[in-house]
Amino acid sequence: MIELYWYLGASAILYLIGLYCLATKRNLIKLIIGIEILINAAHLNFIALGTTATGFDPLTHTYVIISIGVGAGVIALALSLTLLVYRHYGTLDVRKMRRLKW
Amino acid sequence: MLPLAPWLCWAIPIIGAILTPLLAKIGSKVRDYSAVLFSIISFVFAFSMVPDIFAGKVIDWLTGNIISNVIPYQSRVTWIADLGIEMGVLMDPLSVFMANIASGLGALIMVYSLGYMHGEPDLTRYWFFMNFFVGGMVLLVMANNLLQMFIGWEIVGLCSYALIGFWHKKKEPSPVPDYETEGEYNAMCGMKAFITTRIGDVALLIAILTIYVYTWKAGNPTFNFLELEEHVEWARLLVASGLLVPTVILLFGGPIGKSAQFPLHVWLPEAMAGPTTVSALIHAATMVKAGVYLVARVLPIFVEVFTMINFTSALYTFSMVVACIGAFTAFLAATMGMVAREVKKVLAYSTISQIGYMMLALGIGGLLGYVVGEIAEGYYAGTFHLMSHAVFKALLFLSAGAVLHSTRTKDMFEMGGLKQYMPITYKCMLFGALSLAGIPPLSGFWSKETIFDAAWVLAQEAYSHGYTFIGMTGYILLFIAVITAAMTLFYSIRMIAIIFIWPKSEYLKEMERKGEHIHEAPQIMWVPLVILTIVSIVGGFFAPLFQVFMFQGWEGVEIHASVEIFIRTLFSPTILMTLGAFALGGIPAYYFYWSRKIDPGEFLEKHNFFRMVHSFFYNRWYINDFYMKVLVGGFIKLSVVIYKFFEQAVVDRFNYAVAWIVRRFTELFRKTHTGDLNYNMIAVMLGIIVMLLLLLFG
Repeated sequence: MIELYWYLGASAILYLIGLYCLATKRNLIKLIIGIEILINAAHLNFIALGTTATGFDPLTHTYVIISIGVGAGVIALALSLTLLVYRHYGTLDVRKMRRLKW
Repeated sequence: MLPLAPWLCWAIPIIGAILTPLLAKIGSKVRDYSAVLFSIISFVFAFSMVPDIFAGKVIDWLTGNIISNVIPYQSRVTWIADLGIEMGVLMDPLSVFMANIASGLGALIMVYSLGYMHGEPDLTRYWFFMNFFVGGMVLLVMANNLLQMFIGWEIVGLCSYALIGFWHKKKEPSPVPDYETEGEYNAMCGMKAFITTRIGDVALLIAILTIYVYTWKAGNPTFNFLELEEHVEWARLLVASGLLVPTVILLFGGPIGKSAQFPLHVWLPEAMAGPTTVSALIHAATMVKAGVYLVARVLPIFVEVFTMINFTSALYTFSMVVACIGAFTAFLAATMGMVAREVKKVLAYSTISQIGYMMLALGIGGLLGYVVGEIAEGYYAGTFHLMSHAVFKALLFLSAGAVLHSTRTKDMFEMGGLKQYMPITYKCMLFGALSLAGIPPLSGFWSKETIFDAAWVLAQEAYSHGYTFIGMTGYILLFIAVITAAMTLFYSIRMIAIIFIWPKSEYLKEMERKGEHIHEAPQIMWVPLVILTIVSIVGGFFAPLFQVFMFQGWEGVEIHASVEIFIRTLFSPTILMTLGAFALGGIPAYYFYWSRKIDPGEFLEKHNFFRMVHSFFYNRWYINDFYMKVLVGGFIKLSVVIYKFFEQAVVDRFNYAVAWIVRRFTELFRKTHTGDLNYNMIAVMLGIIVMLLLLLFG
């Protein structure tokens, strides 16, 4: 039996990796990968906390599966937006997309 | 009656209206004929209620069950019981009579429209609003409560607006210089009608709600006509607060607007911009009678209630206002009708004038109720004239429509000599005009004579009961009515002579030179004309039957259900006045227009006085100009002032100040918004670290 804190630690590490990715990378596709890592950190955390020594709560699993499904849709949307951004700006660098800034 | 007839007679045309756009997808023929069919079915249902009224009990023909043994019969669905809000229909002589007028003439005019509107664009809109109108009008008259009646009232107002402006896409030059195209002018006419009647509607709504609030205070909130008559506590409370007289006068505001009475009569002549079928159905035969209907509906209730609470002076004030406004409007509009140039305008003025007669009759009824406690005489005269007028005015409009259809001009002076080209239309219109003028033995004679008779009876009764002022007023009203009858004959002869008898105008000759021939109306148009002509010739002879019908369920009314009624009319003292009026109006009209011994144009040249009177009448007593300058102009000026000194100076300035403050405030943070995602994420990380530290050491 692996203790709970292992899972929480792994989740925290995943979260930090995701944040690091978002903070340092400029390429939109890499940023999307970072977001995906962040989401998975949350998923892992959720399942880990829903599991006790006597068993697990099936509801947590259900939610996570739904979340993964929805997440796939979100990623698909994000990638299609990325594609359009690339066509429009000719680049994927987020620092160059500042049209909404004053 | 057919099962559920009081509901279905208005539900079917409304459903038909909603189905019209769908049926238009199938084909234009399907749409046209089904629209006509819906209105005919509605008439069948409405007509099936007539035998029940005669029998005095309501029988379902399908099952043979007796639904009710008494007239009036109500069928009601409670909606919000605590607030007294309900939906229901009331079957009594007045409502069934009006429903038959609305749906019967509606059906005939729909058939006529098949010919008249043939080949026009946007007919889906036309059929939709025509059917919707018939449904709304029958809903209005069948309603058993004021609220539902008001809904019908607004539906017909909307349809009137939409149909006046039906030709809003026409690109021909406008008949008046203020607008660019005829379409724009038509749309403006619709708006004028809508806004003018709205003034009356607001007054009516205030009155309805006041009555409702006071029934609430009396512990029995209701809009229901029969309950208002039964539980009179609301009227007592209204008297106590001193609001009874203002309320009943405001209630009369609705009829003033809808029935085009002075001072809100200005919209009806402009309403003639719509197709002639619309003018015939809405602005002559039915919708403008809604006001007369409302007065006839509330008058017996008022008599009952005000007698019960011993406050008949309110009845006196109400009836006096109704009678005087009616008489004055009848006179006012007749003077304008004598000089109008467009055939439809003449008919519009005469409609206003004849509705004035009906109001006058109902007002006389109310005054009789005040003097002798019995309104039947005036009430009968008003409703009888309503029926005969609905028929002959629809006939006149439809004949005018046939003339317009073949000559393509509205101006009477551009017609002339049509007698030989349109013999059927000529005969129909002649009978219509004679009926309008009240020539015996056409229906208009009997109904108008009944009104004179009622005024005479009022004067006599008032003097013998010691009400000198009412007696004097009665004679004055009678005098005005008789003078108006003279003018009616004058403009009827003038109209017929100019259109049919005068030599052909230059305009028509020009048209023929271009190869267009003046032709008789197609069969589908003249068949309704002939039906209406027959009804308006023989209609007067149904007076005894009509009297039995109208007073079914009334108590203590003396009914002359035999030939006696005709003898009474023919030998009443007022018949001499009528003959005098015929001489007064007929002889000048004969010399000016029929035999053309005196040229009217030259006559006006020679006599300064008559020229001034002519231009005064032609400019509609300057009432229209006065409204335009003072009310419309004044409103615009007021708006400009408000715009400058309130909108710009206060509201706008406040908004600018708010915007300025927010902007200065946000300037302070502007630098932190770098627009760089990486920096923002670093801020998120820092935030997480701070929170963790707080959790660990906090």
